[in-house]
Amino acid sequence: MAMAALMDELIEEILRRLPPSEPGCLVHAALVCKRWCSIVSDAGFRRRFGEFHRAPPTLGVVYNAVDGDAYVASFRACASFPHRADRRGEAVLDCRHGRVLLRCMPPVGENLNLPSASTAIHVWDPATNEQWQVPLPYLYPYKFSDVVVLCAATASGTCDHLDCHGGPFLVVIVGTDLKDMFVYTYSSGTAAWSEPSSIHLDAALNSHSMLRPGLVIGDAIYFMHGEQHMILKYDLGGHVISMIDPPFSLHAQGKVSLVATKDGGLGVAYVKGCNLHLWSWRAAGSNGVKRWVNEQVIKLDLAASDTTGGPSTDELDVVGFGEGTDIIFGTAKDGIFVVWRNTGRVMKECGRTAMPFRSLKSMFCYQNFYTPADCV
Amino acid sequence: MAAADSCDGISTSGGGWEKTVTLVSSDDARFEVREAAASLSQTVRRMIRAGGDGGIPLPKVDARTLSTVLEYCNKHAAVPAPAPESSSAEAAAVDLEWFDKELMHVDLATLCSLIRAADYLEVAGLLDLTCKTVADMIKSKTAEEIRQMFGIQNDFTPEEEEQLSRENAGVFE
Repeated sequence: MAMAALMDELIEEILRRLPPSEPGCLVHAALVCKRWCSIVSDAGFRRRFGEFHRAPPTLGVVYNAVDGDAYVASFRACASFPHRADRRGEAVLDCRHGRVLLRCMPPVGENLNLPSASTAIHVWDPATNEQWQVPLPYLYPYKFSDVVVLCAATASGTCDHLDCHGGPFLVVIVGTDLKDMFVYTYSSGTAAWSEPSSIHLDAALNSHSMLRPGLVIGDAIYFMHGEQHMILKYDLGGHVISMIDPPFSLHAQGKVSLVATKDGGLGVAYVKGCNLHLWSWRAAGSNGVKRWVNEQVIKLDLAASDTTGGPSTDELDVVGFGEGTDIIFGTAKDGIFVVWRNTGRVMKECGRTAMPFRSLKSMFCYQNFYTPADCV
Repeated sequence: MAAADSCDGISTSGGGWEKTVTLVSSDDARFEVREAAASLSQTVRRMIRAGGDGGIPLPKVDARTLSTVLEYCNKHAAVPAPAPESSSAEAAAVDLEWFDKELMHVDLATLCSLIRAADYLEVAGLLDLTCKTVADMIKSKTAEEIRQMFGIQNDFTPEEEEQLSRENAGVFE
């Protein structure tokens, strides 16, 4: 038959053009015959599939929920993706480069403070269901404040993150004693924590409050801390910490999240009334000094879909940003809302339980290329 | 199809003098083509550079397939004549897209021949177009539907098939 006469390379050319946002297509192809299965389950195919499509699609959303007396880390696929069960007794801390960072959680109501004997963090790969334990560093007397996971090659800029999800990773933790901030980096390659980098704060923080999630842009990681919303920038390559003041109007705001701007720079999103304000940190004016510029205001028109009456603006919060996308997540009194920054589209979904801690409200996009695993 | 004795003919098509080359299919049919169009094939471009008399032999492509490939190349190669006032770049793109769509209205066997020819002749745009067309035919189909479509034998044992389905459970929901 016509298809049988095509060389493997040409069958691959065809299968490579199946949509990455619908992993089911490749799974169907793998089930056609052994020849096709070995083509699509090959590591080289996965690599070329990623290179061909460039940007990994959002295959799911990762968030925290409460079920009875247990915290649950939930993975909701938004495309055809292998079923991944809820992870009871765990919470999502971060998600990036195809990896999800989780911590073990005590039952709801028990003390959450880290570090404690019962807590552990681990990195999970939803594509392969593998996971790796990460021992916590000894932080005392500093409080564990924020944490991100990322591909280990981010520092050198040598990875395009198209097919690195099974490879070496870094976990970067920020600790503080309110007067100083410390950054510890764990490398899965050496299975060890680095000596901390630190910075003394000009103005002491007034709380340990966590304002996750962190944001990775190039080889810089940004964290937001305290009620002042001070932004900490950690340069992975040079291990240098610096601080950036937030947009002035944020001092009185609690509903804020770091976001990447349209051109890939540092940005901040915050809710004020019924509006989502987007600020960007950019060089402005002739001297090229960076400052905050109010770039966009998106009206959160949630009333139409709010079945429980008018929207209570007090309840609106912004809780996450899908790195590599234009998606900003928020929570309302009785559910979540999703904002697509580029189009200004807002969608609300009711029925999600409110989380007792701000840090656990965070939502993340899971982006990856999924190709069927080893052929039988 | 115009015959030419040399691979360096001159034609007046397109409103001006243009260099042409002659391509010879596996079944000895001769095609005189503008060099700009033929050069969309990297394979032909290399052979033009290498020079030679009596036309460029393409022993892996039959006349029927080659004529479709050349239809694609003629349309996609930059036409030297100035575009009419009414035709904007956007309109030209729409026209090209429409042309591509029409060109792909062929049966599967022809599509596969075109894929092989586009690969051998290294016409990147046509390889992309044909492979995308077949991928679009596959993407909403189950494994069994794909097998039927392409006449492929299922060589998995029921156990192997079940294992694969289990590993990817949830994908088909």
